[in-house]
Amino acid sequence: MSKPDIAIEARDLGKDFGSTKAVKSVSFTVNKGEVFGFFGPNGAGKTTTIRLLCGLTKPTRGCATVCGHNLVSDPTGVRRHLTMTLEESVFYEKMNVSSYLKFFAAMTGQTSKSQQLKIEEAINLCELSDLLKKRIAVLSHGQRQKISLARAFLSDAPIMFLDEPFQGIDIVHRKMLRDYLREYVKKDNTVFFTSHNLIEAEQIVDRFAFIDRGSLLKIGTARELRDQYLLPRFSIRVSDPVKAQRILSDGLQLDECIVKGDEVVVTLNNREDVSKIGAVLSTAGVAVLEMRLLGTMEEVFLKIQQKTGAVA
Amino acid sequence: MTQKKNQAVESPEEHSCRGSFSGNARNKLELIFTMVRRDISQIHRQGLPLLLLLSAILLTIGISFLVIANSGAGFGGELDITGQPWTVPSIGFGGGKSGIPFSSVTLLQVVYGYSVVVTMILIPAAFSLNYNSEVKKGTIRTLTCYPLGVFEITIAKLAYAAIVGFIFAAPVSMLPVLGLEKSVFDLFAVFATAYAFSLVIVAVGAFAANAITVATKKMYIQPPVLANLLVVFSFFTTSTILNLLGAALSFASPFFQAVGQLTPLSLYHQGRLLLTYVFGGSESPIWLVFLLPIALSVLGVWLTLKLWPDIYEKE
Repeated sequence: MSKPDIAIEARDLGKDFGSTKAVKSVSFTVNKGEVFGFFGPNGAGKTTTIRLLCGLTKPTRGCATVCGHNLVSDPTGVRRHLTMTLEESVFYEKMNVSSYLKFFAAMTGQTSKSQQLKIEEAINLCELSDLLKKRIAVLSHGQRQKISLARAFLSDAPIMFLDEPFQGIDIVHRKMLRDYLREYVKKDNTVFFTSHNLIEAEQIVDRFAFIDRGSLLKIGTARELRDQYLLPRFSIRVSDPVKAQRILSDGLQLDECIVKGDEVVVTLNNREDVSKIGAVLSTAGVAVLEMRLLGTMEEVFLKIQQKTGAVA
Repeated sequence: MTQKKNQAVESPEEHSCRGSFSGNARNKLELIFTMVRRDISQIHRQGLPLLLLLSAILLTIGISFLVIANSGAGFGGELDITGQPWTVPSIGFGGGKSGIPFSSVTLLQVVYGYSVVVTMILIPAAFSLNYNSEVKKGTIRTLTCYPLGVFEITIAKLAYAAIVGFIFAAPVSMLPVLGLEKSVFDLFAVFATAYAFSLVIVAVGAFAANAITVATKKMYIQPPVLANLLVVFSFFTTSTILNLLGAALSFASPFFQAVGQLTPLSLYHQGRLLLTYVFGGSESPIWLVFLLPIALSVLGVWLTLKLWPDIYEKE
C-alpha cells in the first residue's frame, strides 16, 4: 500500500547490463512536494535509475512504487503519473515547433482545452514564441533543450523526471525554470532532478542523493550533509581583516584562518563556535560587514566519496 | 516570464476517469490515434516518393499485363480475358514452340495475384518506412516517455500501414482491372481479400518479431523485417506461383514440387481458395490454416505485452 506523502519509493532497486551492475541495490523515498536531486559522476547510475523509475527498463532486482503504482507489474501505469526529459532528447527534426508541441500535448491525454492552455504555458515559460514556425532541425542546442523541457511541461502529471535539464540553457532562462519548478512542487508535485552542476542545484534541490558506481552513498538536505561532512567555514568581510584574523585565531579553535582582501576566511573546528564569531570580533572593535557560509555541495560530495571509499 | 496560472479545465471526474480501467483503455486508444494522425500528417516525410514510385511501377505493370493478356501476345492460351468466368481455367502462360501453355490459370488467379503483388509490396513498404524511421532516428524512445507500451506502438504503426496501404493499394489494384466486365463489388472483394491477408501477415510478422525479442532479450529481428519475410514467403508458396516458377524454370521443377508441400501454409493461397469458394468454384480453403495466424497473433500480442520499452535502446 502506498503512503500518502511518498511519491516514489525504491526498495533494493537494481539493474545489471550483462556482468556490469549499473545500479546495485538502491533504496530511498521521494516525498510529495519536494525537489529531489540525484547526483554523481559520469557512469554512476543516475540515468539508469531514472529509466528504472520511469518504467522504461525492467529492474534486475528490487522494486519501486511511483504514485502507488508498482513499477514491475504496471510500468505503463507508472508513466501515466509522470513526465520526463531524457538526457539525450531525440526530436522529430522535420516538424516545426508548433506541430511538435501540439502532438506531444495530445499524447498527454488531457482534454483539448487543457492541452491548449498547457501549450501556451510551455511556450511562455520557455520563450518559444519566436520559434514556433521553425523546424526543429535548424535550432541550436539550447533551443532544442528548451523544447525538450517544454514537452515535459505539457503534462499535468504529478511527478517530473528531469535528466540534466539545464544543459545549454542560458542564465536568464535557468532562473525562470528554477522558479517554475519551485512553483510546481508547491502544488504537492514532485521533481526528480539530476545534474552535474551541484552549485546550481543547491538553489533548487530540497534533498540530495549521491550515487557512485551504482551504489547510493548518502541522502540528506544541504544543511544536514554540510553539518555532517564539512567543518563550518565562513567568509567574513570586516573593517580590519588582519586584526580580525589575530583575534579569531586567539579566541576560537580554528582549523584555518586566512586573509583574502577585505575578508577573512575562517574554518572552525567546533561548530558551537559559530555563534561566538560576531561577539569576539565586536568586543575587539572589528565591525562585521558581511558573513557568508562557505562549503559547496561539490565539496560535500567529494568528502562523501572519500569517506565511503568510493574513490579508487 | 509570463506564466499563466494553470486553470482547472479538467473536472475531477474526467481526471479520475483517466486512471480507471476503461479510462486507461480509452486513453491508450486515443494515444494510438494521436500517433497515427501524426504519422499520416507527416507522410511526405515517411517515404512518400518511394511509395508513389512503387505505385506508379505497379500500376504500369498491371495495365501492361492486362493489355497484353487481352491481346494474347506472349500467352499461349485464350486471347480475350475480358468477361471470362472467375474460376474457369482460361488463360495459358508461356507458350513454347508447340504453342502449348506451361500453365493455365483462371481469371481470378490473375486478378487476385495482381492484387496480392500490389498489397504485398505497398503495405509492408508503408510499415517498414514508418517503423524503421522511428527506430533509426530514435524518436520511438520519445514516444515511450508516455503511457504506451511496445504493443500500443506496434498497433499504431500497423494502423498507419493499414491506412496508407489502403490509400495506395486500392487504386493501383482496382484501376487496371476495371475493364474486365466484372462487378466493382467483385473486384473490390478480390482486392479486399488480398489487402486483408497482406495486413494480417504483416501484423503476424510484427508480433512474431516482438515474441522473438522476448525470447532472445534483444531485438535481433525488427518487426518490419520479419513482416516482409513472411509476406514474401506467403506469396512464393502459393500454388500458382510455384506452378509458374516450376514451369518457367523446368530444370528446377522438382524443387518447386517439393516446396509445394508448403502451399497449405500460404495465407495468400488460402485467400485465393476462399475467393474461389465464394465465387462458386469447386476448390475451398483449408479452414484450419486460418487458425495459424490467429494463434501466432495471440501469442505475439501476449508476449509483446511483456516487452519493456528498452528494446528500442541503441546499444
